[in-house]
Amino acid sequence: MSTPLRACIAGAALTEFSRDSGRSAERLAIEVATAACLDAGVDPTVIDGIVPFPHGPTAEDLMAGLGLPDVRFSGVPHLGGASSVAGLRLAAMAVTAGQADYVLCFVARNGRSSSRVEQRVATLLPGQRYRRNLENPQGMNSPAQWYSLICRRHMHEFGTTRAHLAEVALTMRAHAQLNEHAQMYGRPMTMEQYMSGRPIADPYWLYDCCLETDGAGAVLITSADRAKDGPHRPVHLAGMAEGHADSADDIVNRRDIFNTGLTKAAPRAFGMAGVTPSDVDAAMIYDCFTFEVIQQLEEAGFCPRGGGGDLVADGGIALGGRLPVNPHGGLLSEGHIAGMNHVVEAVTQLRGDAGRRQVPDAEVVAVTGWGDMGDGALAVLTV
Amino acid sequence: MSTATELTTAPPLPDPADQMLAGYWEAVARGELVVQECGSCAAPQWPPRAGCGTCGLSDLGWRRVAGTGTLFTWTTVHHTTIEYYKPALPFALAAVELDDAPVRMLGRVRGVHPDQLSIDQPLTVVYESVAPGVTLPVWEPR
Ligand SMILES: [Zn+2]
Repeated sequence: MSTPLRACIAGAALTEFSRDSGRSAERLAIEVATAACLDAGVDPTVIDGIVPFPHGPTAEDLMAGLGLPDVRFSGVPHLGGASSVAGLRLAAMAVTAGQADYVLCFVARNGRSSSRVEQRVATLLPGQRYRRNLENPQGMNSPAQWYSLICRRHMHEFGTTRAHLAEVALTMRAHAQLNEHAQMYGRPMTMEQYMSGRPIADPYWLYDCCLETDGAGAVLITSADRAKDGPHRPVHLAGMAEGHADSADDIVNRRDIFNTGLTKAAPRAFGMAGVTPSDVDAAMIYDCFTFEVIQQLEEAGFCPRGGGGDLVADGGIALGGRLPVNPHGGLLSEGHIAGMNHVVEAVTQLRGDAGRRQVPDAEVVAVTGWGDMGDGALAVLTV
Repeated sequence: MSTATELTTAPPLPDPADQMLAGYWEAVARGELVVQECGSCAAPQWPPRAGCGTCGLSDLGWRRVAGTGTLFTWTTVHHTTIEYYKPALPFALAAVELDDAPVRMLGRVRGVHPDQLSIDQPLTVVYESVAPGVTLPVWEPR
């Protein structure tokens, strides 16, 4: 077991989520960084470490835009959508090692109005040689296509159905009705509406796919000592790990196609935190597509492989269910800022500030990240 | 307007200068299918890589395969941003488990409606010209 890292989330913030922010991604980054520092009760000039998302505004954009005098640590995790969770570990390592006192982790993007998903995957994904030469010429060029391959095989091997996918989509949408910040707030969805969506990459239909969003999120990470003087209860980064799937650059040739980075990362993260999946009060699962919730619940160890469909059925992942998942509505219904909103929701839940969507007595929250061709990360957050 | 014309008359084309895949495209042009093979441990691998995933740094060559396999999984594409493929919607993209090497190849399936596909069904490779001098291996039921 690795040495625990001694770091806390002292501040967290989101901008509003929209289809068109009306301002640059750099401006969103400056706003959300300022808000996260305000939330932590510190001046932004204390930031001396920055972990940006691998696509979007850079550490230098923040230094220049906020007038940061001396940033002495920066690092960019390259795990696609898992980078928001993997970045927490990078920040905690820097703080624990004394290499920085206040590390800001952020995502800022105009993911709907400017840089849409096809543009991002064309530069971000690993194995670009295979994407460009072996897949794009055949007509394959989107995450819905890659990941629906895994979904269909899971349906074949374990009897997972479209009804299970619907359960995920409808639960996320129902949760968003309790979150005024969500893009789908005030827009509930029925099973009839879910079924009437058009097919995209079958078995993925329209409402199996996450939103595209303009917006930003950030957390400020510091030592437990510094965090205890802040205005909020510190949230401890108790266990964190990243992992990379077998055949990391190519899903099709992953002999065990359900093996992901999370399969390897989850036991390490839970081990570091000294807890088991059964101790988790709420889980923030990277819901880029409905099936990926089912797969990650299995691979993180919340149920056996093949048991994800049963876990999500009958309200199992709804508030009040066996394992509440994404009370904020997730990427499917709150908004998609690459999972930084999942980290912020974990903080909100652990502070007890989630209002109508509060998970009672939440003390242990797990956050997953899923990215690239199956990179994974998991963080266990506690109070 | 030449850009729009190119977009609709060809799919995204492979990079002819890519050295790692050159032997594969040469085989396809001859109407043959190959996988990469390690010169030290003889392990086949796909996609081709710069080293052997079994034993590391070694000389890598090619092994001809029969071009038959079974359907491991597929996705049915109903929406595409690639102009060339819009008239072909819906079409299936399959992961094909080869009969004579432990690898899977990604390819379009033709000659059958996607609704008629089933996991483990036998497929065979055929070659389809998509642009002057560019042939792609695609799959049909057998
Ligand atoms: Zn070898």
